[in-house]
Amino acid sequence: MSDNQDIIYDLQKGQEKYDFRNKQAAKSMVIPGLNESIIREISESKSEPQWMLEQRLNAFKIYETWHEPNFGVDLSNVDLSKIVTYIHPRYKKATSWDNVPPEIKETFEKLGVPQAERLALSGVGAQYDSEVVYHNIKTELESQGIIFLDTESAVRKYPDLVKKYFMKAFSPSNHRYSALNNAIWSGGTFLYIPPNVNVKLPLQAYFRMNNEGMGQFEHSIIIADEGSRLHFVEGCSAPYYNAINFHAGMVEIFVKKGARVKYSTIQNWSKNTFNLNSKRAIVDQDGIMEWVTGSMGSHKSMTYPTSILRGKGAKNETIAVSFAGPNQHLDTGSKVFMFAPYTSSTVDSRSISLGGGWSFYRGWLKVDERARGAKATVRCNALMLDNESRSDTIPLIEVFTDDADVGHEAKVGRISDEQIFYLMSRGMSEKEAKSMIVRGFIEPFAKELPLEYAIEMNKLLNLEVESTIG
Amino acid sequence: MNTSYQKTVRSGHKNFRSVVHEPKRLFESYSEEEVLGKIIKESKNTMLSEYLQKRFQEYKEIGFPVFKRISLNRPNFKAVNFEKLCGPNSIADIDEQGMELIKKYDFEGTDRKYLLMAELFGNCGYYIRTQDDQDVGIIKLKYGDNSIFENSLFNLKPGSKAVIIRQINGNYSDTLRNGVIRGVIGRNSELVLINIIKTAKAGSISESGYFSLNDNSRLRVVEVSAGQGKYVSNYVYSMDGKNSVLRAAPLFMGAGESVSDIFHTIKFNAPAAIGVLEAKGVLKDRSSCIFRGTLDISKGAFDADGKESSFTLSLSPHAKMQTIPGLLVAENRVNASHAATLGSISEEKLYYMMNRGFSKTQAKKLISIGIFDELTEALELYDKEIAQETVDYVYSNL
Repeated sequence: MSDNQDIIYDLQKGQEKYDFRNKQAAKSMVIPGLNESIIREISESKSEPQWMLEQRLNAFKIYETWHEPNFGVDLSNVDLSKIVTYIHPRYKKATSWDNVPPEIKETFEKLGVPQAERLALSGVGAQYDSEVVYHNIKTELESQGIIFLDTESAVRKYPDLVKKYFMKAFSPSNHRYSALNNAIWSGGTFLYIPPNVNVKLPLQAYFRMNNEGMGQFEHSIIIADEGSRLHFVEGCSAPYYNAINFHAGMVEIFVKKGARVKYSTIQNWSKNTFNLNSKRAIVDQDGIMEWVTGSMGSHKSMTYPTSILRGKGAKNETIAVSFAGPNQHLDTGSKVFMFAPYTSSTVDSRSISLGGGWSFYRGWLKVDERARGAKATVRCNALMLDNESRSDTIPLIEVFTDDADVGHEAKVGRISDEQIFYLMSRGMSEKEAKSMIVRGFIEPFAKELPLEYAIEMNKLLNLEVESTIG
Repeated sequence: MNTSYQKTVRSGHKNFRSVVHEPKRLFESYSEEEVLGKIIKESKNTMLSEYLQKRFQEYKEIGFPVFKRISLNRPNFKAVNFEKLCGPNSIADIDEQGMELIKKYDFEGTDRKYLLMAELFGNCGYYIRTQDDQDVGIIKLKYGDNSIFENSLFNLKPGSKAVIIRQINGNYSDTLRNGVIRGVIGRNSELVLINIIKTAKAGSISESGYFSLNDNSRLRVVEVSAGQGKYVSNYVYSMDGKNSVLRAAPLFMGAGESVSDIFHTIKFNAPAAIGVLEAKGVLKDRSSCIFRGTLDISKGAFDADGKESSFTLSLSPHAKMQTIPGLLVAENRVNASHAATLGSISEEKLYYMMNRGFSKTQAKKLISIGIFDELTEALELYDKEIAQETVDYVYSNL
């Protein structure tokens, strides 16, 4: 077996951890497709207020008029009329793992979520198909006024707060899939951090799609009030099916004056999943938004975490790694819009492609004429581990002021023979040498994750990258 | 419709396809069929006439594109004098071999509609051929005010050399100047192409170029666009031969409310080719420019060495700078990189110059004119008069 076949074999072997099915969890499936009666049914099952139903129906009208994106991956074989848009849960939400039904608990145990919660997290939300099945936060954080709920519970308990922020970072008319999410969203996390509260350990949301042919459309809202700090970690996975699974989630983040939010994602959807995720942060004066994104899974992805820097001195930091293996087309990137003076941004994107995978970085940096004194850099590096794969980089940089410093650099290459020779001359095997170089390549991403959280992430990285090379 | 022409952007990989933005199109009639009829009637070149008639079928089926970033003037076919094609080496005298090359190197250009338009209504164009191992020296191509549609072909036979200087003065107010040029750089041959394009206020210019470089060939392109008009260009350099070398320097200067959309693509199709793309520009007033530079490396083009850089200087808080540096790589044994810098003149540089007696305006102009060093260096080798004239033009617009 060649080196690359080893890698592909190991990749598939690595996915076994995530590739298990639970056939008992769905109570009843909504008929596949998307129409007004399904939207009404979802809204009714969640006992939503009228304004939310109206928002959904309005967004659905917009969705029907929107065309597919005129860039990115080919979606022509996605037929949303065959996607199951909502699955009723069999069980009530729990705030203790003891109350989570055994078969679902077992799923998350296998994924290491409860262990991670015990060891390294301030709280966890776990979504299984369309609904959140578990949500819990440490008591001392709750007493500081933190609200950490699934989004539908928040709609009922804090309607005014939700209404103030729901679909305010996005509009349903932004694009086809923002309208779709607004129309049929289900699940997701609502998180509010009061002023000056520093959440020391990360909060986590884990999303699991269990059923074949389903779509997951969670909608999360995070509000970090003035001077607060938060690290939020998002993980996701699904078993592999032959039919298409579809994910079009949405995350809206509001970073208030002087607040700091780090949002880490480890995307590991199964290789039959189309992942079209929308994430956007609105950052006020002196606020800091950090996106740490690892895209390893899915068949096709389009996701571009976005920061809108609207307050003076607001800052964005993006570190992203994508890993396009066999039969994967990952069109990922970042968007940063600088609308205020002295805003700054750094984007560090790294991609690895092998086994015929296609990794595509698509970026957009806009420095508006109001952003005087702005500074921004965009760096893209790509590593091609074989000659069957493809790596593309297309950033758009727009500068509409004469008082800004903006730089960009990108490089595509392979592991050179000299690098391997150097390490082998120091006693390493060729595979060990390659493994070390790849680990070094993704290190800036890996080191941004909390050390303890490596229980989840490092396992995945090891499976996806290190062990496959080594 | 002919779909076998080369698209500027490659959009597939194995079973995957990438979605590429297609402009909206407007179907408007300018009695082109009648105009073309006159051209064909007056043409003495049957081969060319037959070719144009075939192309017209495709032309009719495509609408006028509505570009996202630039709105070009509508063409005025009736204002064009088709009776006289420009000077010696006219495209009207194209031979069989030339026709074959035009057919072989069929491409997209700034837009397929504009490419076909330039071919069909080409009232000006040059067919320049060299013989094997011939050094033809410097050829200066001038275009009069009537040269609204250009269709040119430069065919350099193996071992030959040429320097071509094209000067386009954009006195095309309220209309469109639309050209297509093709260059075939034969084995071991060398072409230096200097394009000087002055855009007049309220005028529009479209330039489509395609160059095929064969084994060990050399191509150097200096493209200067300056003025207050609208300018859209699309140049593709196809590195078809091993060890071929390209150095391209698009230089731009925007003033007034000028809008430029400049797109250069290097396609690496053969091993060990070297391609360097260095764009530089300066923008003032309310001008805007988008520069797109793409290195597209096909599988099999191993040991390719591609570098692309862009540097844009803004002299006005109202100028708009945009850049899209693209890397499309399907071969891993390559060196490919790009870099872009967008900014203003630093206070330190201005202070240094002003400390030596220059006014702030003079200091800004002197620093900005440095961007065009590549042009002056290239031109001074071949024609000092044109070099001075061009630098004076740029300087007066700064």
